[in-house]
Amino acid sequence: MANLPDNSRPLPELEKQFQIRAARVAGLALALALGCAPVALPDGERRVALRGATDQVIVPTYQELSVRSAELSALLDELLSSPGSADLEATRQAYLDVRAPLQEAGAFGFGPSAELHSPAVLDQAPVDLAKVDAELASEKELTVAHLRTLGANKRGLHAIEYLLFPADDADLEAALRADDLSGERRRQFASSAAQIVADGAAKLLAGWDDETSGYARRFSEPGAPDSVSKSVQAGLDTLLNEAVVETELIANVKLGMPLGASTGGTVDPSAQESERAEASVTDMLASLRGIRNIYFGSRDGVAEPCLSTLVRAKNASADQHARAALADAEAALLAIPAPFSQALEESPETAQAAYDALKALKRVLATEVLSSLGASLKFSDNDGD
Amino acid sequence: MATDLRFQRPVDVASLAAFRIAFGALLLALSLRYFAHGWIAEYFLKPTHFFTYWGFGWVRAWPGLGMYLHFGLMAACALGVLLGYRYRVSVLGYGLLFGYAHLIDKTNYLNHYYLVVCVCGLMACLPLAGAWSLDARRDARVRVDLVPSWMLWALRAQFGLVYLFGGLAKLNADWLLRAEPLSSWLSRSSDWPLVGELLGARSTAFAMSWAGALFDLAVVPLLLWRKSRPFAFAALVAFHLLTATLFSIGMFPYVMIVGATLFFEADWPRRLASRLAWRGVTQAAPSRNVGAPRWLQPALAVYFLVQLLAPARHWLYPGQLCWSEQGFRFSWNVMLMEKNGAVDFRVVEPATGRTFRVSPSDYFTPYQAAMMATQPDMVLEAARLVAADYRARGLSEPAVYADAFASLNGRPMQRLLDPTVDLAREVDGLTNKTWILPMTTQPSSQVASFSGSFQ
Repeated sequence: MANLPDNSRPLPELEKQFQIRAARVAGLALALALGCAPVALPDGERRVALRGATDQVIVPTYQELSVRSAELSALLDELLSSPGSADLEATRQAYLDVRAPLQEAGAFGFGPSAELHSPAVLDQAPVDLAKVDAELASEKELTVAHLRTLGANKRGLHAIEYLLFPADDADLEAALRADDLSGERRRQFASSAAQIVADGAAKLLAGWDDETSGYARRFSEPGAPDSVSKSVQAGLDTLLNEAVVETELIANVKLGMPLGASTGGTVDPSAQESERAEASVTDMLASLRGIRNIYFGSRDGVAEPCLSTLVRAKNASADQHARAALADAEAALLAIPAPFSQALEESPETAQAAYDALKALKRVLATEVLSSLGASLKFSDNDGD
Repeated sequence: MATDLRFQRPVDVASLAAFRIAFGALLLALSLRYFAHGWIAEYFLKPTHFFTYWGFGWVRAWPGLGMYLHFGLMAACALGVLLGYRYRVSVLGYGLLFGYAHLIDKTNYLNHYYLVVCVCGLMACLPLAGAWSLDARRDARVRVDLVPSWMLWALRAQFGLVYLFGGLAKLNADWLLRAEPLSSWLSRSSDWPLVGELLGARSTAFAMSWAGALFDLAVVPLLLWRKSRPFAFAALVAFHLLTATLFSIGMFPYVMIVGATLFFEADWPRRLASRLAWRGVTQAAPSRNVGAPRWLQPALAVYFLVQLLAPARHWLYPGQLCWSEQGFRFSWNVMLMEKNGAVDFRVVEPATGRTFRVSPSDYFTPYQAAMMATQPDMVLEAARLVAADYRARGLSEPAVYADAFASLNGRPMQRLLDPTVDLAREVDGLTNKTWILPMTTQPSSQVASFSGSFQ
């Protein structure tokens, strides 16, 4: 009968032969393993680009955020202790200076930022102004500990903004400097809120920059036992995907909501995030700058090799399109006349042009740039084939 | 007829039984991976909307813990297949449960998931628990030593079709003349120690593209020829392990490696056991054969006719398959493209002219939105969902337009869909979708053909 085993040779002999062969294969494998001892290898461009984005963009941005937050906190402490002589203009500028690195950091809101819920802790929008007023009017001590117990929509930078801006509001300034309980409580609230922001920024920085457990090393050095990136490519994928998400966020939320993009064109200036400080467009520009910084691996120029280098090496036109789209989006945002609230009412076409430019940027990043790096936009690690 | 006789010839059930055990182990791993990776919540609980298959809109994710129970049952069925315990119920149950889970959302379609369902269906018709199973141990009537060879050939054919159509699909300009998408994918690994530079070289991408196409087309004949079989199998294992290492393709390589064991002589497990001096593995008893219901062979003939025709249906549609994706699924178009897209919707109220900009992220998870952006039928379904939502919000007869852009295999992005077509008025179906724009972009000079950067 066909397909039945050939048992012409005795089993012990077959077994012996099998054992000899197995021993040979094992010996060969051992020799190969010994021959492949680790050797020092130069880092490839991709690894350098990933490390550059981390060390030259992400960590310095969080360092600046931490420093600026501490400066704001110190100035608000000074206002608390010396309300008459404190430099309110400098304090307001310090507030705006915190916002810049914070918005830039939106382009890499993963890792510690997600773990610490930093966007909510530091910059929840909108703030429930009625509840902030209720806290100010209450008899509770407005300590850091108490403010920590409040919801994220009752503290954070926008609550501070509420107390410091508009800059030209004399009544607000008088209330803030007032030598009475009400003024004292305003200053105490601002000081405590700023302290929470500063603490949050310091934690965020430590989360990235800690020498032993820092996310920066674990993210940018795949291969280590505690790495969070499975590979260099996985790290680059994360950066690119976050950039796409951030572009969507600027277009749909920061610009699209006040523009009324999703409400049939009904403009709603109150939907902007930084109306009182008139910093909404500045915020968007900073967010866009965060994306730019990641793409060019630098906060002030271009540091080769970076994502742009890798895209260019694969597809020069894709890199050109990305650069052009970044520049167009920035130009379109800069073209929105100040103040933004007025522009929304009187020249919404400028905001619409910026919205379209941001959407164009998202398209380039989500298609050509991702394709060039073989970084298919994926948020899940399923069994693709 | 001689052919009939050949296919009726009794062969040892051993290779089928070994396949059942190995495939059952893979099915078990496949189910457990969903728990281990958190995919049940990610794919079935987190989304608020799903992309349904045409004709299967009634398939829904179970509420609450239902999907966990669903996958738990799948794992139990897989264990039943592995152990050969209530085998037919187990394998049929797994196929139905797995098929149901993946009919819930087109987002999760994968070729090898479809293959798993097909194989489970075939297995349910065949007596693969005839040997080395709990069923055979507890019930002598289940025990089978010999089966007609067509049973073995049915499973061989199923796996063979994957290679055949997978190979035919690679006979296109992008794959052969531009080495795309392999060039893009391999460059992802250009930082690997020792071999990184090699993987990043375009010559490697070309070599692997051609080798991959040749492999897919030649491996089945080479597995069938006794003299070339050991070499073909070794190449197959190396090929699939290489792809498993280089690309994120999950269980697919292992499914195909296990499937390839079916191409060995039917009694290979007994020979191997004999060589390894395993006791307890007995010889096949020539007297025990198994029949099959009369309807089975004609049913299988119809099934394989469908299997042959379905992958060819894309020829009925105009345009490039990878661009329009009409007739793409259920056709073994494996690893053919690097395609990325971006979609935004415009909802227009005709009476007032008011325009609402809608982002897919308002309705779908990022993964769903990304998968939808490149697949026109999913964009259509999303548009119809948006229209229904805006109708519910009080808009009168809202029109929905899609600004959909995509980039295929390194080409510059271009519009995928006609932005002037009101998708809310379009009906999903098998007819040609005239609102898919033809692909007109050319590859950039850097990625087009052998010139310049060929190393």
